[in-house]
Amino acid sequence: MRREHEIFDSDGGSLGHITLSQNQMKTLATGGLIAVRYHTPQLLRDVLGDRHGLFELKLDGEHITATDPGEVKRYIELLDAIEHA
Amino acid sequence: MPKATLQFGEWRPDVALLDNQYASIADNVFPGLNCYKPVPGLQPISNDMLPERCIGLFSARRLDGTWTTYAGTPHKLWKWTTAGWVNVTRTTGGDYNVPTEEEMWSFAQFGVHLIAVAVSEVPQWINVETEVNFSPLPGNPPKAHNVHVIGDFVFLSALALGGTIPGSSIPTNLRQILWSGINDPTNYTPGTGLSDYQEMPDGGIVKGIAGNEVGYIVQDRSIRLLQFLPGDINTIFSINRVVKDRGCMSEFGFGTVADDLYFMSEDGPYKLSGNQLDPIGQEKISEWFVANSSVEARLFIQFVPTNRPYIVFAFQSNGSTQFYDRALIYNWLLQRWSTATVAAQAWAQLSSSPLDLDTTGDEPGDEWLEWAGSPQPHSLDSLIYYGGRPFLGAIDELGRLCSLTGPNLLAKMQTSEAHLVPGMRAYVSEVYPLCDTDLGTISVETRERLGDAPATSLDYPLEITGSASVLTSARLHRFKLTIPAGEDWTRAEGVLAEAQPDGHA
Repeated sequence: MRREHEIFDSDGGSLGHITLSQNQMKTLATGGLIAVRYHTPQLLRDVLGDRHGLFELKLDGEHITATDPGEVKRYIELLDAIEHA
Repeated sequence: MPKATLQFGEWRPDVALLDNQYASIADNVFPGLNCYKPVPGLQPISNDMLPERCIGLFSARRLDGTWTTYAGTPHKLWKWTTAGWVNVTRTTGGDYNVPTEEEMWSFAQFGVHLIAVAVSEVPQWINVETEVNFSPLPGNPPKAHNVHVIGDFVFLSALALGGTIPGSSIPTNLRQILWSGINDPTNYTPGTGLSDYQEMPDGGIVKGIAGNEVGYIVQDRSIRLLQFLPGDINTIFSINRVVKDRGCMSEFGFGTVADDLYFMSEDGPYKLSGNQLDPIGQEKISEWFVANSSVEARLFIQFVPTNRPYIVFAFQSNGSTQFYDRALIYNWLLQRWSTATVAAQAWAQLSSSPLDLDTTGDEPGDEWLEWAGSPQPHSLDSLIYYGGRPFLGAIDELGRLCSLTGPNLLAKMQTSEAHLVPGMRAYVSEVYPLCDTDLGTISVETRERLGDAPATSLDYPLEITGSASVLTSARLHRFKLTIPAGEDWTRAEGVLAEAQPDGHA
């Protein structure tokens, strides 16, 4: 499944792709900061374990950048796991 | 001459109706404490007709407080204006194709957006402030039977077979529900922004979700309570089954008043308050409903809340009717029932758009002003001139948007059966209805023994005396008052029968 939005760290390095909602993109476009909260869907916890976290994103020029690259990577790992569950 | 008073008491056709105060018929009337009151007919707000059968109706509120009414038909979505129905169908993707044998549109408003779903279509939405046409709901949500808003979440339920949960390859099914991210109706990726999905392990397919801050997941054989747990990332919503082996037959046959859920089950209507289940039709109207409703059309029984202490279950009385032709009315304050016989394609609690009284120039809706020569002018105190007034609305058989504010419907009320002179036959000369009408008829059902089939008399008109001369003689009598459509009256309590002994049977 294609994820539309590439996320970068503060040095411009790509962290991977995620899908942001239309509302989140609007917030970014107006200069806002968005907080992405994630968790393992309840019905997949037996398989994927209980993972959850929170990170923030902002628009930096043309790049969407994360203040906590480690959390974004963990989120992308979870998205990958959900996709293949 | 002795007089016997027979009340039009509580309508309870499921109990024995002999020598008691229950009514055996209460049609096209609202139940009151000690009387029945007239039900008005459908009054067209506009002569403009939907070109197809209406299968969904909803009023959405705008930021300025006004309301806009939307309707769904098998192939299009519509917005009502005083100039008529305006096609607001998506501009790309072609017409919709909702299978009318199993589905109707379900609507829910979230902020400035109105979301519309039907099982055959990608969920649609429209910004009621700015947009002209519906478009696909962002976030790649799956097709679903039902949409509902609980707190800051959009819920899609009874997910259509053949799809997948967004962001995964997990197949969707009719036992699943999926909720959006918190305060984000454009995110349906479970695991992100508190969006998640659940699959009911038992209890059958999900019919839909009802409620407000406290929600109900209504299945065909169970009901579960749904409650948001703020700050709990592990659970998000607690889901607890509160009713087992009972649920709702229809995807549209349930809804809430305050936090009480009303639903039509296989064996009649129920009320659920938290986990307290109340069979509100038992020993009252449940058996009557099962016997008098179409089995094939029970999938479409529609619950309609009103702005008065009544709820309505619209239903089809037989399989040959295309539209709703009957309705059960329940006064939840008095816990009393009655029926209505009104044909409608769809019902909804709507809110009025204002009609401008200004007569300068041509404006939409001017044709409804009396001085513009309207054939059906609305009186000056009609709710049509106010914006936002709540009313019970419907799409009539012709496809016109109507309010239930027209002339009174043909009303029928019948007493229980009575031994007017115990142990003897009774001769009844006159029957005087306890009702403020001077038009109407009385008919009498008589029989000598309970095993006999009742004989029904002619309809005897009320005379100048206010009574009807019935001149009947039998051991058992039952009286029916019929008030013609369009007659102004306010309350009907019962009848006063002049009866005297007429020998032994």
